[in-house]
Amino acid sequence: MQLLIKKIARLSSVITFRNLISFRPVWILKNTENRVASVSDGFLWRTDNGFKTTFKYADILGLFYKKENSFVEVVFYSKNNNFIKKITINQLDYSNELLIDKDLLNGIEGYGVFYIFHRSDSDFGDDLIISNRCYLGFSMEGGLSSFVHGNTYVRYQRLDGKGGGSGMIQNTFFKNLYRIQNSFLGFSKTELFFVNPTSKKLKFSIGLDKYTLEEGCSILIDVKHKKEISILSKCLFLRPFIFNYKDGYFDVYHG
Amino acid sequence: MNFFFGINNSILNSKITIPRFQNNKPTKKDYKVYQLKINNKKWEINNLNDVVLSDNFYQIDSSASDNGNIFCLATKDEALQFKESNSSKLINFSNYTDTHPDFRANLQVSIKGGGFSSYQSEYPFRMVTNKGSMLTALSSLCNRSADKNILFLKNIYELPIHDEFNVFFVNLKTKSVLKREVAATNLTNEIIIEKDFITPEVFLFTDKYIGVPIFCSIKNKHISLEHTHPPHEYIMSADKFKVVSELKKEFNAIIN
Repeated sequence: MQLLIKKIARLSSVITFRNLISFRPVWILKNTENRVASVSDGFLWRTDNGFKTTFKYADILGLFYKKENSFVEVVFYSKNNNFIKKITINQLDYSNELLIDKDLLNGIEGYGVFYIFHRSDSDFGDDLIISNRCYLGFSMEGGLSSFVHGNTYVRYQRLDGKGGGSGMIQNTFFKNLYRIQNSFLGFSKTELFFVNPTSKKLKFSIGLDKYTLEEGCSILIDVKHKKEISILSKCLFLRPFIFNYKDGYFDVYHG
Repeated sequence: MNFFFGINNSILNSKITIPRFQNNKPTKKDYKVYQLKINNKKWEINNLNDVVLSDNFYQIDSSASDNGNIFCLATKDEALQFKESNSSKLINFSNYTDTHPDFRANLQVSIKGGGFSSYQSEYPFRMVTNKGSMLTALSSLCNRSADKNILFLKNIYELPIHDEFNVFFVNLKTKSVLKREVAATNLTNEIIIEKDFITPEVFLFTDKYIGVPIFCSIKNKHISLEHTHPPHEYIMSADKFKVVSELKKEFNAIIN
């Protein structure tokens, strides 16, 4: 009987209903139609204000599955979700590093999102889903990079590149509060970076300030002089990257 | 239940900022900070009453962290219940920090007159009862251009003991052990990473206990602090534990 109840609770229509009424919500809807896929976070790149971004990622298929001929595609978008470029990296070590500066991004000084997808023509059967959680390092004016790990699942693509999707993070009918569990007292400036992890238009607010993000879009918000930060939205998992500044130094971490 | 911990180091200051609220709820003031430390082969629990930062946060600085003590949130009754339980083993005595998304405290390190770096940290109770091996790539977070790279390897184990275990630096391509260090349970272990080891094929592997590997890089008073993910986080399909277990067997064969 318990097994039957569990099975029913996991039906996609039931999950949608659970999410709508916020009853034991499922934030991350794992894709069911593409069972051999590579899932990517929406990773922040920034080349504004003297920033450079270092991206560190693993050769998951080489390390865990001993496949030597896999490669990765890294796809860059602007903050408005306009495609910038796609890079294919064929020669992979177990750990790899990519420097993202304005030279790499056609001279663009700004910020946006990129995704990493693993590619392989090898046969992995019918159930292999990998996700490169990765590490992002941000350096300013040539200083030491401050690192933060991946934040939230956003898009997926089949390993053969013949399909994919987005909208892994789910919404609810009711507004959902997320209080960042740190104090912002004493910093000269704080920036919050959000990417819309859903497949729908996302509305959220921080205090009295309201924001809207279309699918795939991202925003860097200056929240100077707030002691605490709460985010209100219908998204079940909206967690920003946080940049805190003080005395000429900065720190980055996920909220 | 989650535990929190600090870093006590000769060049770094640390502070832990613990929220007095769950991440989607109002503040609850009946939850206090308790310190747990090993004393006479038992877990000793004490209330820390001078760590209130504001209505919504507690803050513990380096002077209260000795790399062996850990902290948690609990009510007076929950702490008393643990104290009366003989305290020969850590138990899950408060569920206040069992939340989705995970309940986190901010662990920040800083250099006097220099920079600071932090991450949202926690040590979940489910890790406290487990032994095993830990595997992480060294170059994921170490920085060859830094003046210094330090690994802070935090282990919390349910029994009140400081049991030693090995930390190996392994080159997976040459299948060789480059170096062996010794760490202990219930400590924030500090290990200096040699620059020559920061290459794509070098991994850190432990033989008996798991933990949270936290990497700190320092250069010209700039700091970076972040933890790495456990390997099973890279795989979302059903075979993830089997695949990771196979990889760990490979490392076990190298260290043995």
